[in-house]
Amino acid sequence: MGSKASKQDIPKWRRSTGTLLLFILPFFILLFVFKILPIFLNFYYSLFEMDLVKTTGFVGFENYKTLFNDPHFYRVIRNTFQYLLYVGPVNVVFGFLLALLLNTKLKGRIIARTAVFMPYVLMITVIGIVWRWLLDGQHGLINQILGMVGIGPINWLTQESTAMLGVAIASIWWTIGYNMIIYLAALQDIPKDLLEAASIDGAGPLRKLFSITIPLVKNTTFFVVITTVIYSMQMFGQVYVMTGGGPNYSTLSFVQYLYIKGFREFKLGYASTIGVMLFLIILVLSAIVFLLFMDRDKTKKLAKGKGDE
Amino acid sequence: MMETAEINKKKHHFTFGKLILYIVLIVLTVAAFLPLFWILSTSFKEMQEIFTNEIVWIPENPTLENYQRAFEAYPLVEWMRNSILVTVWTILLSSIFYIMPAYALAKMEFKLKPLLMVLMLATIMIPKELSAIPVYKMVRAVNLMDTTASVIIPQVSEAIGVFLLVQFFRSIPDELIEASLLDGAHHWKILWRIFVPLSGPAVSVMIILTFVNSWNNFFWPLLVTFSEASMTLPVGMSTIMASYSEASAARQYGLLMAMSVIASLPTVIVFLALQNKFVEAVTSSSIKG
Repeated sequence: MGSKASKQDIPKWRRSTGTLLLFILPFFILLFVFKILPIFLNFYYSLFEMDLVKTTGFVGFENYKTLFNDPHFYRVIRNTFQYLLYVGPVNVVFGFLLALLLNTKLKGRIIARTAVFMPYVLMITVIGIVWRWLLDGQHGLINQILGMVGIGPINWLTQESTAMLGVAIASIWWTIGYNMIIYLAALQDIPKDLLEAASIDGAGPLRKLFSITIPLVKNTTFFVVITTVIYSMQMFGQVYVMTGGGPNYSTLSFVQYLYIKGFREFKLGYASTIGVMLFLIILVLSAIVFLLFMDRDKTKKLAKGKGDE
Repeated sequence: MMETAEINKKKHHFTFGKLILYIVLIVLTVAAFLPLFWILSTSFKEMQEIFTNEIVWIPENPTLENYQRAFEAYPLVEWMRNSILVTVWTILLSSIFYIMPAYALAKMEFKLKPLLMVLMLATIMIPKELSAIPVYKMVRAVNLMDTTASVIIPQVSEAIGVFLLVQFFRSIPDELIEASLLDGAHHWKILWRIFVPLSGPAVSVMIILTFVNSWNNFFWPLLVTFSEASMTLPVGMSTIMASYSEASAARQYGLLMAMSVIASLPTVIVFLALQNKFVEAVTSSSIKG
């Protein structure tokens, strides 16, 4: 992009400094103050002991030491990964399968798309409240339906063994439509004649799926996986409304722990430390996802090269 | 010709397969709609219908009692007013603050441009919770705690909105700018009189995204509002849930469903009316840079 412009003479109007400042400054001041500066400040704060009104003092990595000895911290990590394990595979795989289904020429698929995508436009508070009601141990609809086939009643959100599962079910209902929509757009970009040519060559539906469709939506899968991982790490509203982190800390999430330490107990230095750890974990996980997809890319290119010859 | 014949044959061959697909489609649609239906249905039920042991799909005597109680027992009007204020202001300010840099980033050349683009991208990728504590301290330092302004202003810094517009502005030909400049117009005028009217699709996608994100925003407003009069809908509703134990929360579900209907109506209506725009907003914001 940049090289094209530098080769030719840049017209004067492209460099009008006054206009530039007027157009650029307002937004970038906000971006700097509310998004960029805070990231550095957050790292800086994590080296201090501070509360709302005063900073007690520089403590170096003391907050980190405390955090690594904090049993709640490990609980939070375990809970968050448990949540990711429940939500991640379902959201990605079924998001894709839903898109496949809705990409076929079935009557009423627009209605189905509307139904699956609609929860995504609701606020998290509504999601939490509704699912707390649906999963209610005594009068919840889910238990009533399960009761008809002789299951339960299950105290979904009030016992440790199922609370996170309940939260995950609500989250899947909320977000799977997003993944479906993203996949649907990718599927619609696949050239039709490619699939038709494969049919003529005698490829069955499964063969087409694995040899054409899945490889062609790989970039989308990368995007969907990475956003699912990142959003799972940042899960908050669901547990805030549905369980409050309980029972017995079994659904306490990363961001919720940050919220409690920072905005209930006002240990701002310590909460910043939790924020830094969240950032680092997301960074590492994103890097892992990136590497996984990079590798496959290389092997696919190799395979492709051979196939072309 | 061969192709269509082949496809037609296939269609007839797979009627059984199609039947299964239709069954799956219907089951999924019902399952996805069920919670939404349940919100609506519960909100019109009488107390004893909510707490029965058999399923009451449609209330026998639909009542507005829950809606009435919601308005009586909680400052729902104030929460709605705050939510509307926050959303309208966020949309207005975002429109101005995102459109201007988008023009400069799309059409002008300057040394810092690549750096600014990278910074914008970084702010999209980095978790928003990381900025919460520092911005919280800033808000306190300028004495704006517990005000609508403290909810609104930090929201007007979403780089994704600018990116969406940059992409569209790039596709508008330079000749248009050059001709207007020759006619004596300034960039300011060109932007608002030519670019914005031409960019209806991109601007509306940006506004829809901003609208939904602002209306539904929970984490940040939860931090900076604490008196009932300054809360937005999502925050206000969450306080009801937080202040009840399991047993007494049950008593509130009718009222809470009524509130959920009210809180969801704006985004649901916009979604149903502009579904394709919505889909576009989601898919185009997922493609970065």
